[in-house]
Amino acid sequence: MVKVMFNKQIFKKQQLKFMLYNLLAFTVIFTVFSIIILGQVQNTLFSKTDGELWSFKEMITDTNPKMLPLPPKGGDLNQPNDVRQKNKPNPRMIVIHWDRGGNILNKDEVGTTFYENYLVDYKLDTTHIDKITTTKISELYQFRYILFEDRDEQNETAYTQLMINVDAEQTIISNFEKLIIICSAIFIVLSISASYLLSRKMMKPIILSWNKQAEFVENASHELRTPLTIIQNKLELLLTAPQDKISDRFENIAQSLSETRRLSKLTSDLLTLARADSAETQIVKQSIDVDTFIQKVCTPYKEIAESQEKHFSLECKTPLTIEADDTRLHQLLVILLDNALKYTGENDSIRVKTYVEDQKVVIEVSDTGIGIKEESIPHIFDRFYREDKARTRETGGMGLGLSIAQWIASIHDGTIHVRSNQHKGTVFKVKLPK
Amino acid sequence: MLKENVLTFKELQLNIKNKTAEINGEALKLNGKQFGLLEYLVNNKNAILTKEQIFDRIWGFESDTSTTVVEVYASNLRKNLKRFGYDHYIKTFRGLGYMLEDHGEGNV
Repeated sequence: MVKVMFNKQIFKKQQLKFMLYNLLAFTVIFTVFSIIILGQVQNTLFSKTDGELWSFKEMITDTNPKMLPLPPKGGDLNQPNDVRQKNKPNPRMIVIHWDRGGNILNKDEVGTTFYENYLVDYKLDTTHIDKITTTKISELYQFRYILFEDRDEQNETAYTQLMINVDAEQTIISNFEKLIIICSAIFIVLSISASYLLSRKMMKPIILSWNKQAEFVENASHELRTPLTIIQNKLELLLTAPQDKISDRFENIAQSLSETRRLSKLTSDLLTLARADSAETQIVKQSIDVDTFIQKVCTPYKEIAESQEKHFSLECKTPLTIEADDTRLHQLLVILLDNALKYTGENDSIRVKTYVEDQKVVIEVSDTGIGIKEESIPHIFDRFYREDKARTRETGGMGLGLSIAQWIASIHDGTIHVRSNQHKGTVFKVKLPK
Repeated sequence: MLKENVLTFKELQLNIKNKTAEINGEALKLNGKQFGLLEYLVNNKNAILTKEQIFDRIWGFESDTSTTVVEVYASNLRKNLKRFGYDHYIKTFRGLGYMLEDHGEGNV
């Protein structure tokens, strides 16, 4: 229980970490996104007014004084329409001429109402000459303006200031800012829940493999403990009869040895699987003549089968060579053949077949033994899975063989499948690429 | 005939090179596996050899299901030696293995 609690704490911590990372990532992405949009909006909104200010300033300074303060009354009908259009200033443009003393020269042009309402207190500010600047008049109205020196002695103008009211733009921007703030609030709520859900999703495979690992260790320790207990008992029993000859007490030794072999097989299987998991094992591929190889592996099994009153047949129809690790392939076949022998009785038959199917080399090991229950088939390659736990000590299986077989098939880019034999027993089908 | 190629046990002579065996000059009809088993036993006389050791020696790999086939070899070898009364020298340790004994009494 303590272990479970401990695991839960670790998982919780890790999940929280994932959640924070997700949240951070979301927030950074959204912030960058908003900044870009906001900046872009501001730029485009003011670029039009700024462009107008610049072009009008150029117009005044270049074509001075002809175009001042307004285009000629008669209009320039010869000019194409769009050019005329271009030369006209935006109607919301306000032109103010200052003298050096800071007095407005063109009060009448600006308009009396406007002047009296807004410009009476407005002072000339020469700190931003030739630079577009934002200012406020009466603490309320936003203007973009450009101020430049205008050395036209006739009109006594010392400075000309072009102003455009940008309240509309400012409203858009402040609305947009409001929108972003609202969106951010919604987004924070959304991203917290999304982060939570995502982190849970991310934790799922971790928890799964953690549990699998824990289960594996538990199974392995259990499997290691049983033979050790037996060996200990048998050896202690030998010590109770110190005067006996070995040949009189050989049963104890035989059992200890058999358990030792079990242990040694178990540990080497565990090592194989551990290395398989860490992808540490390198396989050495070489050309293998399929039929010759299968025949060589099967020869002792033919004798073993016959010694147990079982029929063994071999059908080789693959005169091909494949690239494979011969030690591993041998191991794979031994696992399948040992299984076949373990789960068959007298007069059962075991058949090994090789053939080519769908451009793949197939090695098929079938038997007419006790077979596998339909519901066990999906688990048959799981580590430590055994159909009947009671039966295993006699047959010597630990439920690792088929996991190793599957691993060997997969490192050869092959597959292994199991199905029930039509009449009785089991068929294992190994497919390897040509 | 070179002496190193010949193994002897009492009157039994094994020629390692030709894989032939004879007792009192009379040839024994042994197949390859039986000869291998006998050679292994003679080489390790008065020592118990387990079935797994024997299988591993003859086939060169380990198998969970090997013990029955070793029993078959041993029983066939016994049949071949029976004619000369030599089968008594092979002592069986049930569930464990075999031993070739100088003063054999057969099974335990």
